[in-house]
Amino acid sequence: MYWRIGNAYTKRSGELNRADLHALVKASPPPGLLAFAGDLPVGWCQVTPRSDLPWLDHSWRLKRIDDLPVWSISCFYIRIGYRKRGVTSALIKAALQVARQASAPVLEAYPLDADLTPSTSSTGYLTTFNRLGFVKVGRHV
Amino acid sequence: MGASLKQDSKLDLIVRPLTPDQWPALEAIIC
Repeated sequence: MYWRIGNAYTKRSGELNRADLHALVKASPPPGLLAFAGDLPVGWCQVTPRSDLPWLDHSWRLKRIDDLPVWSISCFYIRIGYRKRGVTSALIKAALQVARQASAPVLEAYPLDADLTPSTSSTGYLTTFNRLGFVKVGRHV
Repeated sequence: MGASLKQDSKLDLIVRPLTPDQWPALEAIIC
């Protein structure tokens, strides 16, 4: 929800953020993908048109680099115990299919470079996207 | 988004669009 509503996300209760996300899921085309290991949900990836996420443009690091109607992979969450086991890669591969089916001209993402920061990332890591054929078109440090 | 998308990985994973009926699954991950 952060990229939809910005700083309001951190000022509201988690309950309200969840309720809004639930309403979004009920009312909209699917805003992302879920990964399952058997019946167990183990990963989440938000993939949408970038235009659905107006707060991306409020971040100087994530401003648009052109006017193409791109799609965005903007958030991951992988269940504890299932990290570093290929879940993120599976979600990215599926997101590429979704973007192609939607005739998106570009699918962009905002990963961290783990060589430059020790931070954990909800937007994935550069090495994962590189392995899957993504090309770096901008870099902000 | 279309039908379920089977993916190769270290786990045997199925990736599905987040449709309203899948909401409990998302809650189980993020909550």
